[in-house]
Formats: sequence, structure tokens, C-alpha cells
Amino acid sequence: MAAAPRRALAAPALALVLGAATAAVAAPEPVRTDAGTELAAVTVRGTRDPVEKSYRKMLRGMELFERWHHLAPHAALRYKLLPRQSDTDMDRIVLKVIGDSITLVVPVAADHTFALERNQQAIDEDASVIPNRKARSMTWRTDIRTPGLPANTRRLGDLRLECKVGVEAGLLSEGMPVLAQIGALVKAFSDVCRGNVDQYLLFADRALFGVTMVAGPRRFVLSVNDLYMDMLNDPTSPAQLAYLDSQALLDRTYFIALGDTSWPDDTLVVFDFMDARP
Amino acid sequence: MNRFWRLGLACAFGAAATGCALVPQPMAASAGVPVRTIAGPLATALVRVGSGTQAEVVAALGPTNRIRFASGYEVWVYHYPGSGRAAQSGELVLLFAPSGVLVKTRMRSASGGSEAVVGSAARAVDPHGCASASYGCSPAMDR
Repeated sequence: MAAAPRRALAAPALALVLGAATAAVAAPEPVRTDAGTELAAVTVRGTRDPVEKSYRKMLRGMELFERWHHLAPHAALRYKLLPRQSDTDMDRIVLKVIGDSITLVVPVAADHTFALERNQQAIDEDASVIPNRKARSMTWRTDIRTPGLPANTRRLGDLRLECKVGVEAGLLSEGMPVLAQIGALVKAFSDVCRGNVDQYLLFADRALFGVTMVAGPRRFVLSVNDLYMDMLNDPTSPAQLAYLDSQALLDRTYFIALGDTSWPDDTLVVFDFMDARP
Repeated sequence: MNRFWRLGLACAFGAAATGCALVPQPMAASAGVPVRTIAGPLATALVRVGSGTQAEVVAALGPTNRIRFASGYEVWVYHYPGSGRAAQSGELVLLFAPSGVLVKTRMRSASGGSEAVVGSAARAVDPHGCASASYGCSPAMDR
């Protein structure tokens, strides 16, 4: 496990969105100003400048999940919303798939996960998946969990598939389209799920103190440089942190050798949480 | 070029519209403070899990690199020389609760194996020689 500073393809908040509210727009009605000029009144429903993702891309992620399901044969795919700000309200999230003429409400579970259903009209209309939260308030990940594992563990194959689906679904970048294109260009030269240039940033369920990979008798303890966005090795200013989608969950973050095939998919990733009793 | 090169791009494209407004966060790493190298695992005998304070650890091991989270928890890390032919350093990682009391320690060899924390107080928490006080009490094996 390398100790050198690494790059995280974890959406360093390309969230300099130019206020492009993409919620549904009502039919305009003309309004006359004092100067007599007639303007079109526009009513915007929903959250301005929301967090949003491409419905088509997220469906592509679902398709990839089926193709690579052997990595996690007993797991189902859920997408997950995570807080990006410490004060983000994660309760009562209303999530919708919104196209030009179609709106689908997507139930969000108590753990902030959700699943999408395939809808041809939404595909044709290139719909967006939009929660009622502003940009830079939340981030997105996949949640693929083999059932029956101890609560303080994850399975490496599940994490590998989370990475692949996350990349395919376009969960790792947001913001201005031009920056998304730059991100796509970078990804063309980098496979974050192999970790050869960038690495996929993972979030544990609680604050981490240690992480150990276990495969039979083989054990490997992650370096502290693999935790906390490598902040101890490569300090980040609070100002820079504001651009990371991990800013509110920094103590839960870790990098792991997803691309190291010497570790089988059944490898257990065992967490020692900060608040766990000895 | 570090992991924030894209941040630069983001600012470059967004500055005209947003001024790259930044939001300070209640988290700090001790930038500029090097990770202190201690004499070896025996030095951990000087820290007391469950009652040791930050001041006591500094007095025993010296100041080192640390990160403080918004939750109030702090993680400190020390290095110790690798044993045998290992050129890289091992890690001693300490966790302080928001109260400032040392609540957990763990040691990691340069090759990724866990090592028993030495010291009477540490042993009291970790009677099986586990690297951490929380789990993983089987013998460690290097990667």
C-alpha cells in the first residue's frame, strides 16, 4: 500500500455551478414592466442549483452492475446519498427523476439509499435524478453489500463493484459540463478502480481508527496514510477541503487496493471504528 | 501535482462567476509538523490508554503530526524505525477522545502487519497482543 500522496477521484467539488437551476419550469406568462417592456415570467419549482445526476448514466451503472455481478453475486445495487456539509439535512429527502414532461418520485430509504427503475420515457427525455437539496450539500455513491457480514466489515468484491458502477454512473464528478468533460478525459487515462493513477475514495459507515484486510490467514493493516484522505501525509487547508465531497465525512474515508488482484473478492475489510468499545 | 489539481481547474473555470468562494471547515491537520520518529515500540510503554492525556503523550514522546476532526477526536501518528532489513518506518497511531484522553492505540509494521502495543497500560487494554484495542486478535501476518 503506497504511502505517497495520492489523488482521489472523489469529486473535488467541481461544484462551481453557475446557478443553473434545472428544476421544472412552468409555462411562462408575460409581465409588463414600468417601461412597458414585456418579459416572460418564469416560475421555478423545486430547489435552485440542486445536486443532480444523469438518469441515463445511472442506468448505465445498473447495466454494468449486471455485467459484473459476479464480483458480488449475493448483493443488490443501491445508490446512496451522503452529506457533504456538516449541516446538510439528510432527513425527508425528496428524490425525483425529472425529464421534459415526466416526473418520477424515487423512494429514499432511511439509510439514504435508493434504487432506480427503468423508464423509457425518462431515458428518451434525458432526465435528471434530482434531490431537493442544493449543489455541494450532498454527494453520491453506490452501496453494494453482501448480506450477512459482520457490521464492522465490508467485502472487497462489493467495494470493487461499487467503484466500477460509481464510475460508470458518473457519480464522481459534478458541476459545470466542461469540467465533467475534463474529468472524463482524465478518466480515459486512469482507471480509478485499479488505482493506477487516481484512487476511488471509499466511505465507512462510521469514523475510522483502523482498517485491516483479511483473507484467510493473510492480514494487512492499512497505513494511516490510506485513511482520512491522506491528510496526515499531505495536509489540506480547510479552504481546499471545501471543494472535496468528503469534507463532512473525512474521518470515514479510506483508500484500499481495489486493483490488487492478489486479494480475492471474498477478502474482508475489517473496520476498527473510533467509537467502538475495546 | 497533488490530488487537488482539479481544484485548480475548478477555480480557474469558476472564478469569473463565483469568485471561488471558500467555506472554512472545523477540521485541522497539523500542517508543517513532521511525524516524529520515536525510539521504537518500547516507547509506547510511556503512553497510558484510558487515562493518558495529550500533554502526557507530548511529554513522553514529543509533539508530532496530528489531525483533529470536527467530532473532536484527534489522531496522532509517530514513526518508529523498521526492524531487521526493513527500511521503512512503522506507525504508532494514537486516538484521543474529544475529552483529550487517549482512548486507543495501534501499531503497524512497515510491511503492513500489526504489532503488539508494548506497555503495561496498553496491555491492560489489549491482553491478547492485538494491534488495536477493538478487534482482530488473531496473530498478525505481513502482507
